[in-house]
Amino acid sequence: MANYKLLVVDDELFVRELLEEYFSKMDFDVVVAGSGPDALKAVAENSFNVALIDLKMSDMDGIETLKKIQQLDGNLILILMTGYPTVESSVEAMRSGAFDYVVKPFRLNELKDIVLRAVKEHHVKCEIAEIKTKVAAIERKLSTIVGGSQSESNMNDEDTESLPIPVNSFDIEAEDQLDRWGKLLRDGFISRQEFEERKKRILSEVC
Amino acid sequence: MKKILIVDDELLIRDLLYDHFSSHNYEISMAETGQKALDILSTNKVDCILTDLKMPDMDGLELIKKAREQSEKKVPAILITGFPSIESAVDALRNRVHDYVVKPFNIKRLHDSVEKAIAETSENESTWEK
Repeated sequence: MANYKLLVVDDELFVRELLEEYFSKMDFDVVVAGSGPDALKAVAENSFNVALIDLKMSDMDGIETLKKIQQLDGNLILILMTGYPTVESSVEAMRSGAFDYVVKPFRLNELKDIVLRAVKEHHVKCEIAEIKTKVAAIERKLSTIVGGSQSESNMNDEDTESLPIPVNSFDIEAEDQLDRWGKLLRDGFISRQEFEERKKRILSEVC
Repeated sequence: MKKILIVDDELLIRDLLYDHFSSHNYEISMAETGQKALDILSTNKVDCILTDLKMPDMDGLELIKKAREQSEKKVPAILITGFPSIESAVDALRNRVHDYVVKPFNIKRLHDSVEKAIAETSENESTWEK
């Protein structure tokens, strides 16, 4: 199995340890977070395929965490888990964009099947996002060509600058990370100083 | 004027929904079975389907799936049920049903949900048409 990246968010240590151990044995790269804010930091630093999020947490509940994660990484597939299931919260979770709503206690092999389905969904979502970006790039290119007001040499420079796809994948990652940390700063999860340190680190890796 | 299809085997619910939505400038079609709803949909376009989950000939989710198969556009749909369960709620929303409303419902909440479903669907369509 390829190394998929899984984020486990639960304020119960026992659940974090159980899921970390189980999915690590299945060759998943597992990162655990004990709270919503910690989960947001983890999402800002990593690219996950799937996140398993507990619904009921003390500082930031699962729905709020899910919504904030969606702002940081729109492609990440999010699964909510709860030991206190209700029809209302299942509807709210699914309407908020959760891929599934899992009731505790769960069977690990059933959870594994759900996570593997979520990984497939993640691939599809990423492919669609990539196609949309490419279509947007082609449309911009076409509109420049149809506009025809620039010389050919200028047009080429302009095209490169206006392309939403950065020159290489490393730049994409850096840009993506800066964007995520910026959102955390705006939402008050990190300080300006922490943001500047992160920014410096990310930029030094690019240069 | 937006068109709504109301599907419920209970006359009382159909009447209640008809009274409310027709007085709010919606054009209403009604059916008491899933098959009659599909017959209506084969010749009429609607902006939203409001359907009961548990009906004698087919359940509401099956109706929504069949309605979407026979239509070019993905019509938004809302399920209403007096027998809610987490499994059926998750299943419905996973199948892109816009909302899952439990009876007895608050009519204002249902109205908001219908408006939201219609607005979101036309928003998505215009995004893809761009």
